[in-house]
Amino acid sequence: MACERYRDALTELAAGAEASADASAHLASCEACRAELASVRQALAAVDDELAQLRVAEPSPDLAARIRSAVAESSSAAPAWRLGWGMALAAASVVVAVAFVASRGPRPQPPASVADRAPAREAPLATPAPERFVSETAGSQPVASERHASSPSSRVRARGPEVLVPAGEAEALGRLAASLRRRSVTPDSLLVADLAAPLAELEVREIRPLEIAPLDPARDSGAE
Amino acid sequence: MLLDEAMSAGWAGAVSLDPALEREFEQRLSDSSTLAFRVALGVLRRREDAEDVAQEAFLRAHRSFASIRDRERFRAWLVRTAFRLALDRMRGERRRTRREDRVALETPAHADSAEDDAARLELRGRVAAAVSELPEKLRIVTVLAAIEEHDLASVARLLDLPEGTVKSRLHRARKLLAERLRWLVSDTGTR
Repeated sequence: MACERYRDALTELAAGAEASADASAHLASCEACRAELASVRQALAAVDDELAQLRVAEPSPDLAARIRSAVAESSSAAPAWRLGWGMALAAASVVVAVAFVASRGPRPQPPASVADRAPAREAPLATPAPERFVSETAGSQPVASERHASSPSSRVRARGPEVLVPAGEAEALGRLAASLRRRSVTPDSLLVADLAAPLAELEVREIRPLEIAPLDPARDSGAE
Repeated sequence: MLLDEAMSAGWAGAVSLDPALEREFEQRLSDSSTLAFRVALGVLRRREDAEDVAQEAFLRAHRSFASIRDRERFRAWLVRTAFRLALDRMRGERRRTRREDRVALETPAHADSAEDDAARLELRGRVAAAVSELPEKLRIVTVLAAIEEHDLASVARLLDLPEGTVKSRLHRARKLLAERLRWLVSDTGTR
């Protein structure tokens, strides 16, 4: 039991520390602890012997030459290596940029009326289609029904031309369209006096097609 | 190989350092390649592996040479890098296989390995295992102290540590080794 008290002291002692007076006195009187200290010291001596081989270990004579060769090979390969990584990074950057733009850009939407994307205060209003749109809308999109083009069913069907009107003018324009449809208001009645005056004579101008002169090799070579 | 020979062999022309740095690197290679090899050998215990690690350490040193050209700085960097590379290699190898035959430090051909009996080989194996199980900070101090012939000031410079720290770590390492090996000698050496 007394020896157990000095166990750590023996280890310290074997590792190179100085023994306390108490431990020295115990060692002087305990043969078992002296034997244990000797065996621990022997074990550490084995460690020292083992590690001492590192002190004299020499690499192969050609190690330096091998390193030079590897350095040269690595250095000559470095530009291609760096170029490869550079291109990979550039490609990755492009992909990231495209993904970023795509994520922030307008998302593809189902066919929806332009009015759906208009500010809430701007009511969508269908107007009689100009002639060039008549064939697309005739017989399928009564003007009256297009005022409700924001309903799901009409949103799918609404492919005709629509207009966006400034805020506050939608109702007035709607009433005008309804009056025109009921023929209670005629276009002439809407004209003010000044506009009823004859328009100025229009000047007729001839628009000629653009002429593209072919290249003249002889002239080009002479200019050089 | 001298620098002039290397240049004539096309080696110096292929590297990207300027000539002055190239000469310095050649000098470091000449005076420190054995150090890198020994540090790696202290971890890996196989000459072939240690040489591979030394080569890799110098390859990395060459890439960063402009910032570590000072001799002391270079040697400290090289020691740390070789030690780290050796540890990485050993861990990777341990994952691949447990080599039970790698129990003792390989010795040069002229060593007296023929005289080793089974008990001594076992002792060396256990000693090597005990060293390899030391915490990294204690292990590198132990290996370097052996390489530098227990010149603690030199070890301190290589590790960029105060000498007192090196001394303390070395003592802790030896105490741990003593605890682990305390029954070893009576079990093997005295049979």
